[in-house]
Amino acid sequence: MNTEPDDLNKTTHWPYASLFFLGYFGKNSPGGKALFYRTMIGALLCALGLILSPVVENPLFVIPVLTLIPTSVLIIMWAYKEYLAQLDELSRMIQYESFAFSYGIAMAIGITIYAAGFTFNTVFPAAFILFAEGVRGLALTRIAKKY
Amino acid sequence: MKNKLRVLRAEYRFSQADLADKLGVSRQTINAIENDKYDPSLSLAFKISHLFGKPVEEIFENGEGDR
Repeated sequence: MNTEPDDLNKTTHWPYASLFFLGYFGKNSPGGKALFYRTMIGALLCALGLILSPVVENPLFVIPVLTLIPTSVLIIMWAYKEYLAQLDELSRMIQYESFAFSYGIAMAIGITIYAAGFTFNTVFPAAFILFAEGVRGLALTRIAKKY
Repeated sequence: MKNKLRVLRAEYRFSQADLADKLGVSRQTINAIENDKYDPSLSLAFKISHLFGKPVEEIFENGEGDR
């Protein structure tokens, strides 16, 4: 217990840089380090799947290589589930709100890109992923600022 | 929802960090509750009530038009 409650009227700040660039409350948040390493493993498996899938021709290896991508997504989903369980209630609510917002935007943009693909005969999935990640970061920082 | 958390914290001479530690939440959560930006869950409200030895309704006041 402090003798002086020196922060009586102090305002607090969220880790905005982590929220924007990483999409969560940073490595110092409860479970943040574990989330970082788990999502890194997921991202590496996903990258491996994306790199290998166009070059693997042997049917014996095609299925294992293709399973790398959904496996990586499942690992990332599980990592976030574990992370959310460790956050305190307000941080968790902010993270949920940003997921909901990003999901809505991602669906809207995804469907638009899909429809545009019929006209332009091409889609840019990589650009879509970057856009979705950007929206999530922006949503997190905007929502955190409310509190 | 209005609350007396800041007043109680001052009475007990807790910093926001002290209180956050005791309640197992982040300092930002305490700050948001004190500034009426966030209404705590029922479980957290009871923890606060227990910590300060006061009934929930004495700490939190449901104003008109609140959710």
